[in-house]
Amino acid sequence: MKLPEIIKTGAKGATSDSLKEGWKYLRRLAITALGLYVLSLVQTVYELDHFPSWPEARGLLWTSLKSFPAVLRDWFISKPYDFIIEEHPGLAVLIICLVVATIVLAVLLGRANKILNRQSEILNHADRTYTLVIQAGIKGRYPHAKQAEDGAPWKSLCEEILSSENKFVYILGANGIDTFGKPGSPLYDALQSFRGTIRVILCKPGSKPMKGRAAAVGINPNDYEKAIRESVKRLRVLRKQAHSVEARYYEGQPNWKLIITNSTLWVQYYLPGGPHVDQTPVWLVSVTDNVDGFYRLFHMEFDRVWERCAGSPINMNS
Amino acid sequence: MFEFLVVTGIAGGVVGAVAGGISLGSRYVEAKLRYEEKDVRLDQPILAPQHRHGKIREERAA
Repeated sequence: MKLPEIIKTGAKGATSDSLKEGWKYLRRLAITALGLYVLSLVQTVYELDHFPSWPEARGLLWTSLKSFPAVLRDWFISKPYDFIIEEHPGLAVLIICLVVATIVLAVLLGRANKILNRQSEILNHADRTYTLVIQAGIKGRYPHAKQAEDGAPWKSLCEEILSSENKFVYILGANGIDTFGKPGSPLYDALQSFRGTIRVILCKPGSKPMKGRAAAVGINPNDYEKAIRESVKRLRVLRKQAHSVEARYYEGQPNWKLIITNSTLWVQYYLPGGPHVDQTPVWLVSVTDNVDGFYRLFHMEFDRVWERCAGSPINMNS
Repeated sequence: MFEFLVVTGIAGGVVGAVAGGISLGSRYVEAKLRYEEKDVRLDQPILAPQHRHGKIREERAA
């Protein structure tokens, strides 16, 4: 142990010991003073002019015990009666009211304090949850992606795609037909009007994972393949209209469905064994300043899949 | 005896007033500070707090 630490520890110990000793003396002094006060009280009550001996004290105690019921009656019945009824009725009523009010208010204050402490814990909990939501960038959760009242907000996504600040739309999907591939699909018109970069990754037609996905959602593999080709056809139309469109196939098992714009991420999950992705919840995530927000992480995931599929580009010119 | 009855009556009244005040006041405090933790329905859209007000305004405007 170093010298300063030894001195510090020693000083601490000495201070603590001296405080303890001081407190002991103070306590003894207080007890002695209290004893003297009680003795003077006894002397006053029994009108003694000397320190009582033990037999004398016993005699006084016995006399007091015998007259105790009378004292009790005097203090608890006669004196209060005289004070309240005979001497100061107004003052007595005032005192009683004040005492009642004080007791009631003290109890209520205690109860309110207890409830507020409990609520403070709830708020603290909510505060932490809120921070997590902000850090993750979570904007909302929707029970499904159907174009219904309580479904995911396709309309606001389209508005966001078409906003002047937005420069790209990245889509990672399975067959794309219900997202942008056919007229009436939610992004069909938005992609038509959009002038930024479009990147799309779709399931490779005829691949084993594609057949697995088709089986999971109860669609004939041929129909599923047809849906993919339909979506690709739509992309080619866009490309012919001078849109900046790139697309690739991937051969893996579809897992995340992602739609990414400059500021928003749309996430769903292709649950193995179905149901259709439209029936799965949608998470909307905003871009955050912190690099570990979900938007950036899923954006990196899209880039990773995009690079992995570099060998399977979809021909846009045929 | 009369004195005893009067003082006992007053004491009873005081205790009753305290008990009644605490009982009624507690109900008031509970009602005022009540916070119900509601279960959030997962079959409805849930928006993060910072987006709720904007969304409500948008819906009203629509």
